[in-house]
Amino acid sequence: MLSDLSLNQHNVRRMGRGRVPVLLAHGYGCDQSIWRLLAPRLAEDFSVFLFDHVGAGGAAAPFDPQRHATLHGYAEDLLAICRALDQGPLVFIGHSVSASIGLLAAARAPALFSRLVLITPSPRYIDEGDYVGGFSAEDIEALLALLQADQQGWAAAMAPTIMGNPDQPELAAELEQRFCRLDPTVAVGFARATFTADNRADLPWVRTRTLLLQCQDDPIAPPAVGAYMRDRLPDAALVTLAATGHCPHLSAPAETAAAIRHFLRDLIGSDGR
Amino acid sequence: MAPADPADSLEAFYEDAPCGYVSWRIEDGAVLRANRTLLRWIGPGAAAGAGRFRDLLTPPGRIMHETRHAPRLRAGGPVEAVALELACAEGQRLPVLAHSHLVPDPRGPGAGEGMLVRTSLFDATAYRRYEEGLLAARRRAEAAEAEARRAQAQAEAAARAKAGFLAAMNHEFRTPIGIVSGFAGLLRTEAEAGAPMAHRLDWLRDMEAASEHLLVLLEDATLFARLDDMARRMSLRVVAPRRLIDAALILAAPVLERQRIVVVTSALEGALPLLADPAMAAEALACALREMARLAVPDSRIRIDGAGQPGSIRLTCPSLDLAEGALADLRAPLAPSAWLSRGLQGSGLGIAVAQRIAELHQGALRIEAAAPGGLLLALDLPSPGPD
Repeated sequence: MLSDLSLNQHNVRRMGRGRVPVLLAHGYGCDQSIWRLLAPRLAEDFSVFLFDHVGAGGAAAPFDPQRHATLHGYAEDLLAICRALDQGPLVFIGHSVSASIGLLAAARAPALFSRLVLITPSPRYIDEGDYVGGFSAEDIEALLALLQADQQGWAAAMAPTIMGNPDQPELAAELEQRFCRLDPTVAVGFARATFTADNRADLPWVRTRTLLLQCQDDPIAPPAVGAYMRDRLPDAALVTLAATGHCPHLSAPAETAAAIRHFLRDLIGSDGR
Repeated sequence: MAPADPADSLEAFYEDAPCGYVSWRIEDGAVLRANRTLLRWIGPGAAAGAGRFRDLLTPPGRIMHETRHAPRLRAGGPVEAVALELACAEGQRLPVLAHSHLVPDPRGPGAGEGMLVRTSLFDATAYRRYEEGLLAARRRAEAAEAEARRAQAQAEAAARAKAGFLAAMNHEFRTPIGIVSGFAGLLRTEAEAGAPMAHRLDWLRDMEAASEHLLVLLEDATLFARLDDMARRMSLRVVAPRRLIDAALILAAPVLERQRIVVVTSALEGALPLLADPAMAAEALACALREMARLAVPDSRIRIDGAGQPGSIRLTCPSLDLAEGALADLRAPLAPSAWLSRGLQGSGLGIAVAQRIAELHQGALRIEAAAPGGLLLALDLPSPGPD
């Protein structure tokens, strides 16, 4: 199974041997190594699968400017990975833009997903009318200009970072030595697809039970966005973590893992697996 | 060495460094210290409101910080050359490159929590300008490469067109030559046998028609072969459609007379000028006119309209109705399906010549069924711009 083309092209890796499969999807700007603190905690109870989006980490899948111009292309990649894993309905945990990607995938193929956990999600980043996304259209254009001019600079930013963790040597063996790799040529396209997306209309079509995790003080996904999503998803609960920032799985992995484990407690058997 | 000058202390070196320095707590982003250089960059108003590191940044800068800078620091850092953007006084933005590393907070334990971040910020204005120049140069290079590929594709298409032309010529010439030699052989045989020749007038007429067709083929083939040279010598001018039509009528006169075609022109005085090489455009129009005349029955009428559509000279023969298959063959005269089905009624090479000349003018030769009936050949050429 792990030799399937989709799995190889997206650098799919596995941790843990639990009965319930969990798929972790990283957000914009990084790769699967961003799960380095959360994944081992979840691997105690679940079979955790990690992958890299096209252009990130060790993904070899080709970037298609047309197909990946919107998040639908990334959702198709995700569905291909889910089918290739062939683990039955799985728990999808998506951070940031991967939350939207997961929503699109679950709307299209609900049978592949048993639960959704969306970490600091946002269906739209640009303000519109009464909707507060947190940014103006000019802010997003300025971001794309910032990325565009720094395409060469990314090469320096991608210098290897040693990820030693003496308490968990298998982590270094499982994950890449390089941290948060994002191909500069893909970065602008992925950023445009991410920050100009509007998936508000997709929310009512996602019937999979969903946990929304937001942080008290997230400069990218304002608190109002969590409530907005909870009110429009057919079956969703919202939990606000004490953690701040946009990456609670890095800044507060214990709190994040506890919230996820609580949401999935009925899936964990009496033997803890 | 002279004793140390207090004005050149480490403190002064830190405060007035050519880059901005800021120390902040990773757990909540609280800024602990910033040097004078950074405060001067962002201005006193912005400095007063910057309680946290991300408050120093514009919204795009915050996105970059949360998605690229902070995660790498959380992983243990160091982080080098991340593009950020400072929010300065009066709405100004300063692009910077950030280098950050973690040091233990003397007040807190361990790694990951209670760590301080020391960030050096370098004014990236010149760097951004250089990057933009590099990107612009790359875009120009890519455009040049695309243009070279397009030119190569055009050259390859021209080579293929020539190969197709030669293949069509092979068949076209064989047909009339076969007729002439075949009937000539029969005549010789009968003459040698002493047979009377008066009743063989039909053979002689066929031989004459085949000879004339050969001449037409030679003219068309010669014109087609000259096209490349004509293209190199192309000289575009603003020309009135009337002038092109008059020249084309002279060039096509022999065929028009032989077929006894009546040509009617209309709306020429009000026609808008075209941008074309007059000699080539007249030749294209003549080729289309000759082909239409050969396909039509004798005594037919052809109307030439120069003002119906801007940039288009239209030839219409109401009595010439072609089936869809015949129209398709006419549109692709050098395709095997077209020349394999032709006899002496027309080589179609004139259409190929007219099409090629139209393409060289960035125009087209349209071949359509006319409404309410008949055949329409429209030579579409560009119009001159406002200059």
